[in-house]
Amino acid sequence: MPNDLVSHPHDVAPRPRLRLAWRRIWFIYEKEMRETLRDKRVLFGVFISPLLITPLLLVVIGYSANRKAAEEKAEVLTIAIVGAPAALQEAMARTPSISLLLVETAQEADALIAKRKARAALIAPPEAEQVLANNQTLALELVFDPSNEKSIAAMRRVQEVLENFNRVTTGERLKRLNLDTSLVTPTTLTKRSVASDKNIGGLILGALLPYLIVLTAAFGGMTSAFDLGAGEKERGTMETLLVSPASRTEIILGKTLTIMTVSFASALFTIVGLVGSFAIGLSYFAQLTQGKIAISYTAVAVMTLVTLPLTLLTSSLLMILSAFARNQKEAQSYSLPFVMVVILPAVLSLFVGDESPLGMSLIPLLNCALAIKQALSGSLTVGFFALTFLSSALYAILAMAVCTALFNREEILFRS
Amino acid sequence: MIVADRLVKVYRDRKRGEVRAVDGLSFTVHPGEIFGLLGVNGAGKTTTLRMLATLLQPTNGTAYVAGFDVRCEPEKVRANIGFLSATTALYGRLTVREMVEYFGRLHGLDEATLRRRIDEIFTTLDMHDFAKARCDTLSTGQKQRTSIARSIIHEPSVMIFDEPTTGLDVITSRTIVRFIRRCRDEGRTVIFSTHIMSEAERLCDRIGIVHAGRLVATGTLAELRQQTGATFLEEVFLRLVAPDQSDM
Repeated sequence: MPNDLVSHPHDVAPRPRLRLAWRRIWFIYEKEMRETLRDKRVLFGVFISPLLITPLLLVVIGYSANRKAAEEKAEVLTIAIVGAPAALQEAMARTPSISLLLVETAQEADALIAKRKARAALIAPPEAEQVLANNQTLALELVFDPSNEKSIAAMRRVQEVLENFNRVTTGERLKRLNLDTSLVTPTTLTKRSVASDKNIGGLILGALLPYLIVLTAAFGGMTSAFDLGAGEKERGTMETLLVSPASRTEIILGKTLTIMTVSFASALFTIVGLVGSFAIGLSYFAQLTQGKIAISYTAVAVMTLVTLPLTLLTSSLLMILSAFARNQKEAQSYSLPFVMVVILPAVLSLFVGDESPLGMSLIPLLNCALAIKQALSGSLTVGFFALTFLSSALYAILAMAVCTALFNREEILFRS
Repeated sequence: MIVADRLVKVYRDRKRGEVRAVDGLSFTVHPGEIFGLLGVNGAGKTTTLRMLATLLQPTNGTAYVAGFDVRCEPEKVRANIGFLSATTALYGRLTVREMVEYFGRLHGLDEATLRRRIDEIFTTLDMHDFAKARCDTLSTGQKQRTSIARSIIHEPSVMIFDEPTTGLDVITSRTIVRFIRRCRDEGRTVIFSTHIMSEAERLCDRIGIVHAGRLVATGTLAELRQQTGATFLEEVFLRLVAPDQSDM
């Protein structure tokens, strides 16, 4: 201790040298992980939700959608007919999903649709029979309610019957004239897909997975983040930790690495939960992918690599909120802008095609979602991946630096 | 040893503007001595102790704790102090043993030393029975003993107590008071803050009376009595900080 300490006022303190003790960071990380794994809220968010609830939710949604589609297909819809020719009436009567209701006037048909006793109406002029017999074109009117799903379905069924009726009638007319149907059919079209199994499965997963990975990477660690920062302030354990020899930078590194681990695990289990559901061939998923699903090792590697800087970025952002807030309740109220910032690029990734311009690899969060999307559809380029990884890592380091700077400011740490 | 040299702490408050929470505090605390900072709530006691513990940085002035400058060597200061206050809490999801082990490791103790120290402390404080219990299941007394164990695991030469008995029952308070005395008897430098007169009277070798961020008087109880002409500490205190409120 200097002898002249009284004679020199200390207006400016020399900055303590920053030398990180990685061993202490490890102790902090280990302790935080131990506590985190004993927190039921985190266990639910990281393991149970992605592995059970997400696939279960998709199964339920798929089952409901399938059931609704099947029910709609099976339901017989009533069509009101005004003066249609006998041949057309017969064609419609032969269609099992249609039941006919003969009415006299168009007004009567309109009233039936309004009362939903008929779902659509086909109105023919009085001279309809004669027009057909004369090989002329019969002008028909199809009445339906576009605000009603069943009416739209009825309209489509009538259209199908009419298309078929036209084809058959045209064939008959040409035959009577000793002409071939090729006369009115200059071309035919057969569609052939060049997509491999990987592409098909990848396209479907490619829409869902990037979206879910970005969301879980961001929100998976939210409970831990608020517990490790604002929660510690609230409970008084932050002061206990701050009087230990660990520097504030070491503390924030240990804590952020914990949140990153939780977020990463959350994203990883989401991938496992979703891919696993496809892989074990749950009926709904099998129908979605037409039984074809394959994810390449490259896609898995890309997903993992891209998720690392992504989770470091989101963890640092969450830790900034948590370090700033005085308690967990306040942290939750600050989280709304964060949620918006994350959801927007996640949703955007659903709409941006997998051949996105290179510039998008610089947009945080969206770049990761797009890289995963491209990896799954097999269209990822080395340039896009490299830029995505490097820019995400840079953003993560910047967020980490801001977080550390905030944590070292006592007016932030001891806000009251 | 603790040497505070014209410590100043200024806060900027939106409503009140510039607040001088601590305004030029200087004092020395020697090994084997209990020095009490006595003052009303808001006098600047906690801010002073937080600066000594390097939780807050002084706006001006400095302090040397165990020979290290709080401004230049905060980590070395923290490695040599034990800090206990009513607000230093425990990690609820850790067991008592894990809690003490964690802080021992942060203080750089090797595993063999850590085991030996834990065994010694748990025996002294009679903690073996609840060593495996999670901290959130402990009684107040058990929590306080765990906090004590946490604060002395690294055998610090300086102990800082910030109103350590606030909110505790009589029995738990006695445990703390006994512990503070033992620290002094073991030759540690002890500083503690309180607003409870009887506690300061019973425990302190010397008392510093803090008011509005300033040290208005310092000395042994006998010296303070002589200085003010009062018998009881409460009267001594009032004569120094609020003469119009005293019975003089």
